[in-house]
Amino acid sequence: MLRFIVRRTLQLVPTLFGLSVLLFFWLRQLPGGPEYALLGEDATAEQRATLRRALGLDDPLIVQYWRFLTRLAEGDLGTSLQTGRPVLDEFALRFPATAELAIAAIVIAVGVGIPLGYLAARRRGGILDSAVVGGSLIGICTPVFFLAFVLKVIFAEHLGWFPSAFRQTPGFSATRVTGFFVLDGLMTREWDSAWDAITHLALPGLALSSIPLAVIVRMTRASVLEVLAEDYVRTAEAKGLHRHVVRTRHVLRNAMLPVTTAIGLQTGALFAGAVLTESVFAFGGIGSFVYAATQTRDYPALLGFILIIACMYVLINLLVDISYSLLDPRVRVS
Amino acid sequence: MFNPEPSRPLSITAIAMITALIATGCAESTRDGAGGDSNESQPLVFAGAGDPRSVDPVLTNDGETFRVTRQIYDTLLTHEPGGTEIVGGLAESWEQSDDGTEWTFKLRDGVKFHDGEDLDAEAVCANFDRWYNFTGNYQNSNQTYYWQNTFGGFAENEDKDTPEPNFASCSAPGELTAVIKVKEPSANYPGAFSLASFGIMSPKVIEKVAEEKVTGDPGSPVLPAYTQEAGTVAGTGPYRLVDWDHDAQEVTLERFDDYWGEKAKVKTLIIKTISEEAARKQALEAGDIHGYDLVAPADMEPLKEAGFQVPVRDVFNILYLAYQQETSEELADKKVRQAIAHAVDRQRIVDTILPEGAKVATQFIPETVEGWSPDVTTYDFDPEKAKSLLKEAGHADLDIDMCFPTKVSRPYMPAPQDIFDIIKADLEAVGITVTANSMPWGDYIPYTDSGGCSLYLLGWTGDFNEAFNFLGTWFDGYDSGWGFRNEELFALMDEVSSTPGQEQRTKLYQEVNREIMDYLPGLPISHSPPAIAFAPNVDPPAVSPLTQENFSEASFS
Amino acid sequence: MPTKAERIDRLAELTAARAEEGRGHGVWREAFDRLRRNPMAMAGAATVLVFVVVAVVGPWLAPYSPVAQNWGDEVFPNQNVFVGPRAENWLGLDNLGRDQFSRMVVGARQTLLVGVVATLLGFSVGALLGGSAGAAHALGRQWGRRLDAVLMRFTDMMLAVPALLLAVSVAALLGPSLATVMIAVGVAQVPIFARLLRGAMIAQAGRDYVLAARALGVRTRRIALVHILPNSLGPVLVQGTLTLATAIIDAAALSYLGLGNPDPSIPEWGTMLADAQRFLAGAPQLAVYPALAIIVTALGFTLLGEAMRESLDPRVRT
Repeated sequence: MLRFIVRRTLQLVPTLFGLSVLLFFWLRQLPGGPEYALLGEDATAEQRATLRRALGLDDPLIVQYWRFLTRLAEGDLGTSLQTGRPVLDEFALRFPATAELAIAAIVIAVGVGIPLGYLAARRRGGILDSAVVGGSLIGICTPVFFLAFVLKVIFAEHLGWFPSAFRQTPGFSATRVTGFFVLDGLMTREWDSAWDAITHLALPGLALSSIPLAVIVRMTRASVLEVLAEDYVRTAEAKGLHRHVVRTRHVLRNAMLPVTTAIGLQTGALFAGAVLTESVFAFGGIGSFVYAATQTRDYPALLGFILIIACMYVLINLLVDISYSLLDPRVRVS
Repeated sequence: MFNPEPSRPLSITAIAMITALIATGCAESTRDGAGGDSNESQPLVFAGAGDPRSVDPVLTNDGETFRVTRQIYDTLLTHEPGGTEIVGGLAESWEQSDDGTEWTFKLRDGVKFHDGEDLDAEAVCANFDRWYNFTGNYQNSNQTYYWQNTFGGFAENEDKDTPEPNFASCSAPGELTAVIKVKEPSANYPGAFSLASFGIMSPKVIEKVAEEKVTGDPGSPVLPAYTQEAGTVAGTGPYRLVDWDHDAQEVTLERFDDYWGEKAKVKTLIIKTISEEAARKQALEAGDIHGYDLVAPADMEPLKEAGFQVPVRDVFNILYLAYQQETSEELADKKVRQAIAHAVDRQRIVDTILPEGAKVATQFIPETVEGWSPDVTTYDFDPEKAKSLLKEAGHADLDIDMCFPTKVSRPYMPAPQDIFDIIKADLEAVGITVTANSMPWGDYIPYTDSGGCSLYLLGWTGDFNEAFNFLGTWFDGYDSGWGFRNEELFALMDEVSSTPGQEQRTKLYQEVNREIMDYLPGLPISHSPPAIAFAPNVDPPAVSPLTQENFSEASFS
Repeated sequence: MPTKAERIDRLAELTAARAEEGRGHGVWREAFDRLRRNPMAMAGAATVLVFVVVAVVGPWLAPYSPVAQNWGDEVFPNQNVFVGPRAENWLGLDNLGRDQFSRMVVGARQTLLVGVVATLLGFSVGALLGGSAGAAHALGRQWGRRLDAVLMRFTDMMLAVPALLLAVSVAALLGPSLATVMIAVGVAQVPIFARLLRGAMIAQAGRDYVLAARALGVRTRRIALVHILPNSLGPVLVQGTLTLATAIIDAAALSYLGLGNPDPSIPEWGTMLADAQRFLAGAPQLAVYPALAIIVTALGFTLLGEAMRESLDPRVRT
């Protein structure tokens, strides 16, 4: 097991290195450059030229890449050109927002999806089943940004149940510890602050959860159906084992295998969906920042962010593989 | 199978989840309405479209930052509330020498900085001397953009492309008399003294940050820490900076009780960031914010109907359709340029797309700017005339490309795509085939600037009331975005820029405008006020054509 | 007289064919029968059919030009004055006074075009990558494994960047155009197709008929092209159908981010939806029509794809 983890982690290195090379050279091929975004409509050609030189953008690409690598060796990803702050700080600042949103979405998707999928499977062909199957299909097929808008119009504007934007009510002077607002509230025992952050998570979390929810519901349903048809379940029931035991020990546990994979894959995909959701809800996470960075050609920020995200994405997949092998003794990792 | 009550634990979980979600919403409302004087107890929350960049204004050039720093700092000169006329700020009065190189400012008495220091002429000079003596990465044109645009370079330029300094010296002959000398007269003065970039900072702070540097390797300048947090900076403005929460994208300002003018009415002012236009509107409607800038024209009427206030600013900008005469040779033919001008129904754009208060433009500066000319050549909407002009020019079947930016709303250009669509339909109606080309804003400027498009939409918002601030942007010499050489026009522009007297300048500007509209390098389309909105329970500040709202005037009603 | 090699090839084909006769052909036919009896599949197929027909004949169905601003003087978006459905305009007017029904109908074609081209692109590049990797892995020796490893590392890199982010960067690189949307959405699908095909091929490679063919000395390239590849296409076809739905939705997301179709006068559902969000307060119908159209169409493709997957997979019998 340990060797498996070590090997997979080592495999990360060439992947990330290759990715950094590709990204670095590719980004520099994009038309325009940061000097335009930074200086605005009215700058003269000379001003732009000076800035390019000052930013070192006129050096040969190889030199620039080498500079990036040497800095990286010291754990420095460079400075965001948009904000003038180190990329790592910038990431640390925005990551909690996105992570909080992604966790909220996954919690909703798992918390609602698995029970619903299970129920649908148990009462196959019933009204609930049809509703779940139909609803999840519609969930997959609705553009996230549109759903986010609709949710906001209904629940924030008309019903006024939830706030329509931000991570916390403006002026809520909460103590910041980790940058995860809910966690901060719990750690500092500022319960109202944590609660406030949760209410702000509800709508964007719900919008972002639509696709993972649909996927998890369907996965659970299909998987439970499959397990229910297995001989060992029938045997167990025939043996007269208590229904509850059969359900939890045999059905759910075995049905969860493919679901785990789906959850893992969806978590990665959430980062992409967050780009859209964050901008609709002014949530200020990684998504909006990366989007702004592509607009301003903020090379260091783009490169750094994508590398970190890719790294996390691969790590999540590794975690999925590991949990898979823990759940299913049949899968031997070697 | 006999199965009366399937999986109760799971259904309970599901119901609990849903209940929790709904309960969350209900609990939310309890935090509002603390009672008492809401000006004291409740923060006024205003949303801009982007994050501020630095709380030291000399290091930035964008309106989102200036919205914050204008509340913290005062400038020597400023604009009348809600207008464009230059009036005294920290300087009660000012005068210029006849040759326009010596500017004398009489400062207000009894002005205090947030850190308790007094304002005097020495303090003003400390600021100007600091800017003039910037070294290292401070000399990057994106760190000191406005300084370089108006006062040129530095005491010791470190890059050969940095402009020569036009600033000569600042002296303090009296305690409250500051004299600023420049090398050459320029149309940039006195307007430059009103720029938010040149907010006056406490001399004590200047001492404290003297050693601060824009650090980082080439390619990654890092702004010094003091520009990113509350605690160090201090100005003389109605609000002082108490917190900048980068996590929550939130700047918190608090009333400065020793302010020299009328004190701020609301105790706490919070500036937030919402980059999405629709999200800003929804946040206002949902009560999460009390006001926001850059309202989409389509939202103005629904907001008004719902009881929100949408005060109309005066116009101080220009939207134009640029002709690039090198990219499309046909445009070098004046008849073709005129034909396009006659083909576009600018009135319809103003009537259906632009917000209330918008006007069709007759020239490249708005009427409020000194030098606007009442008798320029005008080009009425006349498709028949356009067709015959095209025929005369031998381009009856003209084929041309036109660009517009996507996903952006500029103060002078809300909904670029709609404006493009209308112009395209108009041009096609007179037989011109239009190939559309669009790109995000970040790509759009470099692309159009380097002559990538034959026709493109762009505009400009003035920094201060001086026609050169508009016209000089485009027409003071060859520009790859326009691709024409009109030596007569360039010579006129050169003359006006070095004329010290305001009155002579105004005359010259009128001549320039006549020349421009006769030559028709592009088609001025409209002047339109960028809309701003406030909640029903707010007494908004006087809205400014320069988007320089002074939030100390705002209060809860 | 056929040469020895040819005789062996023939033999391998016969063996493989016989191996399939029992399962292979039967499986396909059975799958198709099951598909026909599945109401979800039929509903999906019907939706897709309607969509394709509208896309093909759309321009003839439209009563007006989709770009002519015929009623431009009746709509004032800046004053919140819009025109809803009426006798001459069945779905009302859009924000510039164009006939919304005509735009929807004509827009179907652009939408389908984007979906199909993007999917084909993702499929062909992915198939090339995955196919060669799979073939190399299954049949090559040392060098084959190595080639497979290199190709898969490459797709892993692509997979490591979230799909939408990949699409956004591609779109930013190429500048907005309809072709960009197709390429961007297609590129994002490449690694998925590649992995899928590779996996299926490796699975096939272990089958008895392949082992038999190898034992008989059939050339590896021939085995890969003639035997393994066709038998591995099933899951890829299913994925293709599902991808059509994703492509249409992703294209809408790109439009929302301002990287979509550059010419707003050419109607396309994604662009229409993204653009109409601005008027959600005053004229929600402008957003609702394209949204519904996108959802229903994507639903059609998804239903069909899911049903195909189920019918091909004998384990999930309904």
